Amino acid sequence: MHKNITRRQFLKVAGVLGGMSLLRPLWSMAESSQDKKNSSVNSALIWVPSICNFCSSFCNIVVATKDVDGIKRAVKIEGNPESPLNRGRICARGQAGLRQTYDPDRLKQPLIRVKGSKRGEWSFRVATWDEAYTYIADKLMKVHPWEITMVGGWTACVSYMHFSLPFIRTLQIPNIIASPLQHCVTAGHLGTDLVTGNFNVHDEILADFENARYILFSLNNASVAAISTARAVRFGQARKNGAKVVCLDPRMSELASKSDEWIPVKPGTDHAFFLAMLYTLLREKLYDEQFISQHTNAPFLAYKDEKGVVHLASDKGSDGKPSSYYLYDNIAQRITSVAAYVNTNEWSQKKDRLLPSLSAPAGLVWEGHHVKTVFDLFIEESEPFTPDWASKITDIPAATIRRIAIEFGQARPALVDPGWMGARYHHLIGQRRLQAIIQTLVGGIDKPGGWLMSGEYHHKAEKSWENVKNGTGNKNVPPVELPGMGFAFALLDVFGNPDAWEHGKPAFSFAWAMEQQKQGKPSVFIPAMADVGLLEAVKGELNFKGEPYRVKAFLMNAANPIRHYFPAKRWEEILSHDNVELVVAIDVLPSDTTLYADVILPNHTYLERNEPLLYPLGPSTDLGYTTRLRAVNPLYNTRDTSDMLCEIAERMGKLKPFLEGVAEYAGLDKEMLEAEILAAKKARKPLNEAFLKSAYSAMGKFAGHVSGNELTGAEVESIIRKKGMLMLKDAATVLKEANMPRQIPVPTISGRLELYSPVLASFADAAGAQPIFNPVLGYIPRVTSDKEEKATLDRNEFYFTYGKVPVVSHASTNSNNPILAAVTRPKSGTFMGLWMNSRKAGELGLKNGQTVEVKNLRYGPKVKATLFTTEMIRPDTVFLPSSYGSRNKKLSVAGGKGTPLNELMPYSIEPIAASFMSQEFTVSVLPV
Amino acid sequence: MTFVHQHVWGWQIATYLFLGGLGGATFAISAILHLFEGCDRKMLSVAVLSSIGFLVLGTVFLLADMLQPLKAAYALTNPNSWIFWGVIFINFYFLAAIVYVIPLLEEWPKLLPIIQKIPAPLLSLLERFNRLAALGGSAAGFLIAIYTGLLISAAPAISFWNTPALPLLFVISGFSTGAAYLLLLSTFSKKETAWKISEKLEQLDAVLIVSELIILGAYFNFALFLPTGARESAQYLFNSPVFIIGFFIAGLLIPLAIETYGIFFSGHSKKSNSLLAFASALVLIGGYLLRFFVLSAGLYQYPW
Amino acid sequence: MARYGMVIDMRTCVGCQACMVACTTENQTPFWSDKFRTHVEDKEQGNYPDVHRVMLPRLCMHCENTPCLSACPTGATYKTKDGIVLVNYDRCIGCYACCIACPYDARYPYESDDVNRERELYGSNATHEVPHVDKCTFCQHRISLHTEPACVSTCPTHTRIFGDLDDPASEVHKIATSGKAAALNQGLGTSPKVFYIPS
Ligand SMILES: Nc1nc2c(c(=O)[nH]1)N[C@H]1C(S)=C(S)[C@@H](COP(=O)(O)OP(=O)(O)OC[C@H]3O[C@@H](n4cnc5c(=O)[nH]c(N)nc54)[C@H](O)[C@@H]3O)O[C@H]1N2
Ligand SMILES: Nc1nc2c(c(=O)[nH]1)N[C@H]1C(S)=C(S)[C@@H](COP(=O)(O)OP(=O)(O)OC[C@H]3O[C@@H](n4cnc5c(=O)[nH]c(N)nc54)[C@H](O)[C@@H]3O)O[C@H]1N2
Ligand code: SF4
Ligand code: SF4
Ligand code: SF4
Ligand code: SF4
Ligand code: SF4
Ligand SMILES: [Mo]
Repeated sequence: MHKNITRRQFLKVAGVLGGMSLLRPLWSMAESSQDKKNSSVNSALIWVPSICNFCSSFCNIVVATKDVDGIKRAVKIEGNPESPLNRGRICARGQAGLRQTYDPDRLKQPLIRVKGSKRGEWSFRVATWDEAYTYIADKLMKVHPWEITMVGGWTACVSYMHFSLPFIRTLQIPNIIASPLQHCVTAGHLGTDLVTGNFNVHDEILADFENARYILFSLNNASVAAISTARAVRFGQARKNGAKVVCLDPRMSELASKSDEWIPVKPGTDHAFFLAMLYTLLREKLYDEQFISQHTNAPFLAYKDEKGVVHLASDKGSDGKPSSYYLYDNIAQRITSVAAYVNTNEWSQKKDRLLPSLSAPAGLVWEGHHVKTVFDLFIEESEPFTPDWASKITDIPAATIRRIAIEFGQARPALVDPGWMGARYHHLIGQRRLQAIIQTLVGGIDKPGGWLMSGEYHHKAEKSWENVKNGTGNKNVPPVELPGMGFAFALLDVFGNPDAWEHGKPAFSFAWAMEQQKQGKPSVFIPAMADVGLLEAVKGELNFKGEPYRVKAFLMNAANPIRHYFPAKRWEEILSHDNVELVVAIDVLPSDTTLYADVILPNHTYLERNEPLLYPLGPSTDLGYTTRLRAVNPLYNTRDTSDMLCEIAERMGKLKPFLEGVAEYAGLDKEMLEAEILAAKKARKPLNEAFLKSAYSAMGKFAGHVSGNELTGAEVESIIRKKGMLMLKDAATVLKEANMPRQIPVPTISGRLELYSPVLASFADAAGAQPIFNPVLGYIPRVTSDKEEKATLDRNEFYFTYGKVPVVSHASTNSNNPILAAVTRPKSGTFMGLWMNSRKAGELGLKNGQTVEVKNLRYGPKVKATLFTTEMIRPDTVFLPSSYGSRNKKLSVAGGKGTPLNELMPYSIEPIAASFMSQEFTVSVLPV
Repeated sequence: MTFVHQHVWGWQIATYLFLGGLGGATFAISAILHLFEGCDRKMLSVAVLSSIGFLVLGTVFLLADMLQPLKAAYALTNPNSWIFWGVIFINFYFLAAIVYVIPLLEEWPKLLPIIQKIPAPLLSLLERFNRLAALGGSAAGFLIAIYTGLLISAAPAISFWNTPALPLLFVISGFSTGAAYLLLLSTFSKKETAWKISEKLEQLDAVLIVSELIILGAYFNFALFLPTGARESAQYLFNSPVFIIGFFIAGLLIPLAIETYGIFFSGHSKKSNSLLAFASALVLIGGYLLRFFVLSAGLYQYPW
Repeated sequence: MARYGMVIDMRTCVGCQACMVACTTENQTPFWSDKFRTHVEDKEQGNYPDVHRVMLPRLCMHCENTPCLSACPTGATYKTKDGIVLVNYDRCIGCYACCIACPYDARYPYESDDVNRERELYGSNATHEVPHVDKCTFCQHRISLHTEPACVSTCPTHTRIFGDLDDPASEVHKIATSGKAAALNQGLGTSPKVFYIPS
């Protein structure tokens, strides 16, 4: 079925076979077996393009397949050289991917829990698919739709978003818990998004390292060098180009080891560092004045209300949203109004050319309020945040902070990495927001050497800008098609709005938040796809509008909450609770979570499946689409997730509306999809390909819109098969035509980059003025104790930090991969051990390699770890690699090895998006 | 810079090196004694036969350590390699030793019928070349003994080995073990000639041990004062009690003391016979320990 | 005729071990026995806070003066016209003389257990049919198809750079002759063809 795509075509070299003879060894006797036999690279191989599934970096790969003993086998994976994202390269995990498909521990058939056994025990019987589906549908029918929750890992999030959203809409299930949010991107990205408006499924901004001259990292490692290949390729080039790299990390991470300057900042204090940096940039006037007065809300006039909350001077339209803002025009020397949603402050609403002033003349009054510019307020509010102040908090000399700020401000282009995983501290949203503000100050948004937005994101923004301009608006656009914050708000409107559901119940997380708010208890503003209230709903303690709100059934896809959610205990309690009537886990390997399932549905591994749709090229700035193609036939009795969802919908009598929903969300042709599904059903074939076929065809039309060159579905398919992706627009063109904000608005509320955050202001309005909601600047100190923070730590007390290692993802089952385990062994200290400063360990009488007990001093839990003593960490800090500690012995390589991070974690969340505050405690380390 | 113990060659190869040196030296000493002193042919035949035995056994250890012993014949391909020469020496040795030993076997009445099966012209040819075989075999034996040292000294990254002192040490130690072995044999012989020879052997061994001590001194001196892996190796050996007690004290000093006593104080009297046997056994054990420890002290000096 | 060589840019190696995994999947080396053709050393130097973490990827240096080749009695170790040092599996007797002689820890035995395990894992696609001493081949089978070695082609940070040292247009030539890069343990006189740009 696959067209022969040889390596030759990929590399565009001719005369391959001729080359062989060149390499005949000198001594004819030496014609060795390795000459006669080929390893994987061989012109007879068939290379199938696909996408790596080992982390959310979404690298483009090619899979070499070969007929071995009469069966098509995958023999090698490489990076797809056509990919603008990973540029033909992949990391160790990507390379080791084959061994997931050939892992003997795999889930090979549907399993149903043996009657009488308890969740948490591996006690399953083999079932047919029909039995499994019947079991699931029977249980689902018995509960209310809102009593069901879906749980999805990043795989589910990225590839099945267009299925799960219509699925829950159709079945009226208001609950999705998405694993990459609460303990990953929400906090960090929300912070940067408040400035850039960039909110996306995987909105990680692509930092253009290789064109930058100065790169500053804080709280990064795996997101770049340890490793996200798309970033690592660019980072490597940046080093070669001689960019200066500065890295803040309490320990010498892989990334820090590749920095010109490693700054062992005191954990949880980066926020103060960035405040002082901002202080210095503003005082030294090291900012791009023209850019910020043109494309940000810095020149907007603002005032403080009675409660001390800062508001922008603006008019409100009938929908309650701002209809115009005000600034002080240096040309006319007066206050002028500018349009509410545009990309530039260049024109007044009356189309006069403006020269917006960054600071307002003293005593300026607007509608009775004393107004200043946002920029003035930044200068004013940053006053206390001097380098000296920050130095005491961060343990970084004031001179160093000042020097770095000045170096950064003087080097153009300079780049502060936006960061990725953020669920660690209360200040994280604030810190990442500051980073975005600093990046904005130096004009480094959508500019070479700065932050680049993805091609797809530009495209969505462009489309929605068109809709705004021609007056159609974006009301009827499905949320997934909206750019940035628009998407976020649309999702909120789905999950947080009772009226969006026939049964009048929003997601339990919002129900919980609303009830908390009503009772004046701590709550969360936007608990989108979060697990707040879940335990209460399971235990029968959650009420919404006077009626009980229960959760009784779980459909989990590619998620491993028993290991990934913080803390483990909570999820153990939830999933094994007697009130829970159904736990379904869709997975490829016996993860720790499958231990708690009633039904396990085995998924094809990524090499065995097509993905049902086409996907943008991750954070790549080029506009292009790709998908996963089946490299080898499924080895076992496994299925595709789209087929599982269809089957469940069908048994619930809702297949047709579900399909319509998918067609709408994914932009497929409804008739075509239905016809293809019908045909597939007739032929008793998986439905998966019906979606993909429709997606090819839709993409052909889309290509026509973008490039004027419409393609047939078959043409799209053949391009994808050949190259692995369909490129529609290169990065340079994207940046030129849809530069945000130079050409089109960014998807913030005002269309400008927002130094002042109206979103934070709205929280402050609701919850009162607190530093965490301060729309200008607020400092949030690190808190590690419920009592007053001690000045010094006890003798064996440490700040706790954790992070990823290059060879495993999260606490994923890819720790079960025998190759990854083998390359881990020589570095088992670094990759698996609890890092402690050697001198400090010596003082405590602790030795490298010894088993220690780590106790969370704030919340109590304890774990055991193997000590790794090293000079590469602050003496007051320990660091735990976050990727190990699987408990399921069915994972024959990984089971029982390493320390499960989430058994040490508390349940501690911040009030904006319920992100986990996973480092806000100290630990003691004692010998056992 | 890191130092890593080599794990490639272990006790099997140590055994091979030991038996190679022992076998080669045993033959060389006995043949030379035969040529220049004349001696007990029966003992000689036993000595030569056991030297062949040592080398056969040594070769078996070598082969057993290989991944593909059945292809061992390929080893005759590259003359730049010491193993190539080892194979040549050993084969040449086997040839010479067999040529040499067959006529000697006539000493054993029980073997006569077998030997008589050999055509007379051939037998006389063997007789004729007996001295030549003795000489050639001795040379081969010597080369084998020295080859065992050359083999391992050709490892550029193991600075402890990579010195000409090592082949010298091995050859001396090999001859010392050969002499000790013959001494041991002679203590079992009742013949007077054997007894006379043992006196010579005792002297020879003592001289060899003294030379060995001198070379060792120079060797360690050299190793300890270089800031390289050699120093690490030397220190490793100094810190190995089995090496110090087993090899240095029991394998060198005690036998030397016994032999010195035998030579200077007891006037080589028969009463010290069992003491001599004991000393010889110690030398043999010491010889093995030397090989074993030198191998395990092989530290690669890696540039990372 | 080419003179293949590699430059390793230690300024960029992040110790991700992709090269090790690429090599083992490409060449079916016995990862199950923890044996690899290439390794990445990860060393700390100095004391906190003046500490460095040095990553040093290493593999066979394809020495011009080749101690392993000299030590090999069977001729199993040989050098191609392009200067690649290879082992002829069929001719190797596994005497380890080459392993002892190699100053760079570049060789390991592919033992009969490994041969069997390979067979289990890869079926008839197994490429090591007999026990032998194994080492990096510079992925000669890939070069002959004008493809870079597996470790090079996957290295995310372009730490490993491969090419013809004699080709003035090649990146390796330029770096190797620029004085920026140096070979390891030059004192041994092995003339390695792998060069390092220090970090
Ligand atoms: N190998 C691997 N790579 C991955 C992934 C994976 O699972 N495995 N997952 C991908 C995904 S989903 C994500 S979210 C990203 C995550 O990538 P990152 O966001 O970079 O997360 P980590 O590498 O876990 O942690 C970053 C570093 O923060 C340091 N750190 C801890 N506390 C502090 C602090 O208070 N201040 C400062 N300055 N530093 C601190 C830790 O020592 C660690 O080195 O990685 C992506 N890439
Ligand atoms: N302990 C710990 N917890 C963490 C993190 C950490 O580093 N350590 N990192 C946090 C971060 S940043 C993130 S983004 C999240 C990520 O959390 P997730 O996205 O949930 O994590 P993954 O490890 O990618 O995989 C989860 C499950 O998917 C299964 N899986 C893998 N491939 C497939 C497939 O093809 N189909 C199906 N159906 N299942 C598959 C795996 O076997 C595993 O059980 O975890 C967070 N939680
Ligand atoms: S970074 Fe590595 S694991 Fe993640 S997608 Fe890319 S190749 Fe796969
Ligand atoms: S793949 Fe490259 S960056 Fe990664 S460890 Fe190997 S040489 Fe270093
Ligand atoms: S590095 Fe070792 S194996 Fe490679 S050529 Fe040099 S001596 Fe031979
Ligand atoms: S092990 Fe093989 S390659 Fe090495 S020296 Fe012996 S025969 Fe040659
Ligand atoms: S060149 Fe090929 S054989 Fe050598 S280390 Fe790299 S991948 Fe392995
Ligand atoms: Mo993540």
